[in-house]
Amino acid sequence: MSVRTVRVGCGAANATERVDLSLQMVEHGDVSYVGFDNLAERTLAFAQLERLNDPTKGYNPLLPDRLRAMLGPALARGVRLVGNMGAANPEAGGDVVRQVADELGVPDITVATVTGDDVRDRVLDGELELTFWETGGGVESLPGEIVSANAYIGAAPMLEGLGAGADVVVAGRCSDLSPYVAILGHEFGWKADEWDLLATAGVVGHFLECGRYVTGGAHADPYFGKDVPDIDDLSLPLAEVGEDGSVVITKVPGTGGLVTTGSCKEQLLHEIHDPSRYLSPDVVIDVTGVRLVSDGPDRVRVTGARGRPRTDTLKLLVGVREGWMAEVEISFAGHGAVDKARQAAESFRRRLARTSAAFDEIRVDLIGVDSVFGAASQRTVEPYEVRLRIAGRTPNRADTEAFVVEAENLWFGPIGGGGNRSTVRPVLAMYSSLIPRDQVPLSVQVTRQTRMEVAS
Amino acid sequence: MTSTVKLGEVCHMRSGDKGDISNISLIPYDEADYEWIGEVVTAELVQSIFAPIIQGEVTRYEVPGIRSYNFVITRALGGGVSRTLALDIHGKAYGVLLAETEIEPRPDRNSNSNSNKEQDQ
Repeated sequence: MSVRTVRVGCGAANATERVDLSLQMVEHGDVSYVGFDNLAERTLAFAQLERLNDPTKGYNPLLPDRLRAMLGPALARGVRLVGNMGAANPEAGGDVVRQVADELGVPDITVATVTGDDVRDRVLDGELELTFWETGGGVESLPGEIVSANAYIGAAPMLEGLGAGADVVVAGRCSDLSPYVAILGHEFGWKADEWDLLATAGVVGHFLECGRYVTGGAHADPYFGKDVPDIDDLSLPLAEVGEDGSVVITKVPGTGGLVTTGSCKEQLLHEIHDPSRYLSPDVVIDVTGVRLVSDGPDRVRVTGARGRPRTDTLKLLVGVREGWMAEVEISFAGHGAVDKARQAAESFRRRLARTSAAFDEIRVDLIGVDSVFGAASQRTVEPYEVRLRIAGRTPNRADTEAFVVEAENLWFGPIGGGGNRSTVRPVLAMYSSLIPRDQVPLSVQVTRQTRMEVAS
Repeated sequence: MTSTVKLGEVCHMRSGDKGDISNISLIPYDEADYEWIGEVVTAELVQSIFAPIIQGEVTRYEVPGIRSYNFVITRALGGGVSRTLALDIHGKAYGVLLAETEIEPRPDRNSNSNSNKEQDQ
């Protein structure tokens, strides 16, 4: 007896995902659904700043280009698109979908937009009792202006949108896994309390939401002989999922890279903490019993995900303007390059200390010596050239001016300092808390747009 | 004389971030090395390797289904991507630092097969 299966692809794994890979998935992935994760921790705070500046913006900036490339081919093949491309403004994201459909002359499209994850107003009003992990305190403990506050919502509203016939579901800050949980829940009718099946859907989402990390990205290690073929031609990943919860992870045929038990093991543990308690808004996932077995070239079978009931809280991420960061770089070369760079750094520190500028933290890196592993570096070599980098963080914009002035002074330090560049940018810091689910009411708006060509 | 091996010769790994927390997976190429790696690469060893650049603690989790380990380090990333002054804001290279670690070779393994391939395809 054959089990009904569906192929689900990843269409984007970050805010700037390559548009050609989204299109490749639709055209060559033979998939019925494509999921999108366009949000990292800070992305939404930046999107919220855009929205505050222009109420018609705040969705993923690449959304119009991505849709122009892939919406026509997706609709022609019946491929449905689900994800968080709405970022800080899902409603405006939905408008973009309809506009692009109109530009393309699409005769009929149904779009669902999910709202409710944005709880900034209530956080600002002090309505919510929150305890931030980083400070141990409430809203008053945050060290600057609150720019964004979004709950990581689950699959339920996206599932409703698909149930209402949406071709495209545009959400904001849902969890990275949840578009895939919604897709599989819709396709197979998996219930919101079938914990092992939901955990399986969550694990599928976990394999897909980081995109090329499972098809050979960040995997090649020439020193230790771990190779990835055609690393310039990695596709986004896709999954074949059966109604019974069977799963195979694979990639678009004919592309470079690989999908092996090795690449899948790396992805299974990617950015998770306690593997027996991976919290998502849809289900608590236990991956400690997950088994990965090769199922032919570039195919890995996944079994053994276990689920437990979801918790009654969601993760809340708050973006806070927290001062400024200034940075300067300058190169030194030839014999004694490191000594010259250290002398320059020391003179910079001394001069900065003579000003009134107050920095919370200053960091000195010698690029080529210790800028990555710092004091944990296990081996040092004397390089023939080195790039000095000094970075500092301060609450006050004005204090960064002193930093830039002293950065200019590095021209007059040790001999041969070249390529002196300094930058100043705002710090947008993220703070986390839990928020009760019942404080995050959600809604879905579904609109159908039809276009009729009429003879004049 | 005993010659050491780099951990990266017998395991692969990947590191990632959530907030100020880093995690590093440690995945023996040969699943038969799971118990041995567990004896050698303790949370204490990882703590000692990273001590100069972290403020928090290392916890090791076992993942028996894929015969691998997951190390979670708190206060590991200078405040996290949004605040850190480090260039590698995510700690993407933390796994590489772990791979550099010199360990004694597995005592009961006398063949010097340099098999770095996943037991896969």
